[in-house]
Amino acid sequence: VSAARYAFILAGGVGSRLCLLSERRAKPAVPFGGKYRIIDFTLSNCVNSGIFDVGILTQYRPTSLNQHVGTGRPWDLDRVHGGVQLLQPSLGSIAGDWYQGTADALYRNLIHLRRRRPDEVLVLSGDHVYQMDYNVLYAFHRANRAAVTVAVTEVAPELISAFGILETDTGGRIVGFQEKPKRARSRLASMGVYLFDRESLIRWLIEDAATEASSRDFGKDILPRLVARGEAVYGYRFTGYWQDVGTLDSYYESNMAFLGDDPPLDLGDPDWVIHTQSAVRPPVLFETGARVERSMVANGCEVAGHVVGSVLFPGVVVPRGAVVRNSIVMHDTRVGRDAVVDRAIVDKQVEIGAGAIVGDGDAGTPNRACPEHLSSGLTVVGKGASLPEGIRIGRNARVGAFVADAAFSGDVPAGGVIDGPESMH
Amino acid sequence: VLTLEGAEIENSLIANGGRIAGRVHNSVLFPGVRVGRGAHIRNSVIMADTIVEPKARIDGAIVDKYVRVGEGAVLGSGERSSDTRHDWLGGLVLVGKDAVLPAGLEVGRSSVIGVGARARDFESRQISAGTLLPNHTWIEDLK
Repeated sequence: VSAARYAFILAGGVGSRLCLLSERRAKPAVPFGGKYRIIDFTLSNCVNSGIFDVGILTQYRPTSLNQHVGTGRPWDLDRVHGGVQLLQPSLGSIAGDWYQGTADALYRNLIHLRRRRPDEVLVLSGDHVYQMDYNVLYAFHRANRAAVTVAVTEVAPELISAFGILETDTGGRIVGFQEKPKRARSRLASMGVYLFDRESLIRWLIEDAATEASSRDFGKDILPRLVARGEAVYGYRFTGYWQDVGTLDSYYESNMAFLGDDPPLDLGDPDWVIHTQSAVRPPVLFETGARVERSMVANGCEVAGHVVGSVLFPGVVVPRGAVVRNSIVMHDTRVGRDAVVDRAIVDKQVEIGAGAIVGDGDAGTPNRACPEHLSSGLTVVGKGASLPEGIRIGRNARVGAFVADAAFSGDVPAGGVIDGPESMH
Repeated sequence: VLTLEGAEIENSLIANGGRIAGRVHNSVLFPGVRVGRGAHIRNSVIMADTIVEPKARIDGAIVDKYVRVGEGAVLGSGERSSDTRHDWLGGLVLVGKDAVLPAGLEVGRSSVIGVGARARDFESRQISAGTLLPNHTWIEDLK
């Protein structure tokens, strides 16, 4: 019998490309798919694979994540032995500084491996959407006597510059590694899923911490060094659905992908349940006059208007005359009467005034503040914002969190920016 | 609730896990109910994890959990039973838990389909109003 397995989940990154959605919460805590948070997929993969001892490394804006994970009960991780532990940087210890990079985050938490004696340590990212049985990865790792195995998946050629790209020989051994290259011979991207031999991991982390020029990152520093040195680094080819929801566009598209007859993952698979923390809410009330198509509508919603091609999180209200089209609307947002929400991402607890139009006109202008992340015509409204009656918000516009009615001096043009009271931009 | 192309839902309560490709009017659907394309549910209560296959029609029924209503089946057809012994049903069709109703089955009003009913329990595809079919236990299936 081998020792109990252990996984670290990296959940501390800033996720700036998600713009407003991750301005006030860590990316793994961003709501996804009508009732989940992104980290639910990784956490559920762990418990569904039989891994019940997990440390989550947090740093950037962790309160939302802390609240969601809580004691770990929805994942059966509230345990006497093992369970889930949230690992934040703290003063007065070896962890007494902010984590500099992913490798540094682990290095400062090596204490957690002191009394745990698994043969391997699983290192995961908390911000990807996929279903994966890690047992297969363990078996591959052992069969190849690898020192570290990196899960890889094929990505489209235009996406290679967003990922760490690996080159493998016919036996699966990694012979080349480039972090976010412009051009590459391979299209195999690292999924941010690593299985390390415990002893090797500890040795390499100590070595990296003593290396002056390192930025203390697995992708940038450790993996290239190991490959260059000829260590037993293997690539495990994963062929299932895997989605990095790192940008607003990929976040939007991957939510929408779940609306069709043939979703990329079966969220209802009884053998691979995606567990989540969810409040008890009443069933969805569809009133007379409601029209709803190709949409996901979570508990507690009340629909009397039209909802088409949209994802509604719990407690969204769509009254008579209101239209929500091709949009993502998060918890407890209230759409006003006769208001229109079109190709928009609306965060939690937003009040949309009667007759307002969110996503108006055409997508001509990219967003003024973040043109590189918001130019495809989406309109983004931050948590708790209040939009006055009859206002028109153009496409590619961004309304910050907790913007009050009074902050608007008129309609918001395409690409416009209304910053919230606590905006960090 | 996932609503697919062709879904039409009005004046209804639908709980989480529902997957609706047909029409639902004046009804309460418990968690995990699936309604196939072209199916139509009216004035009914459908309990958890029941599957209503495409083109089935249900009007005025209380359907318990884990029931499978076959393609094109009709629950609640025609007039209610005139027999006063069926008055307690108020014209409703009751379907017991775990029943499997074969495709094309037609069940008249004021009828009761027992718990765990199977295709062999239906002598014909026409169940006239006021029919009471007995219950089965799941253990019988193991023989």
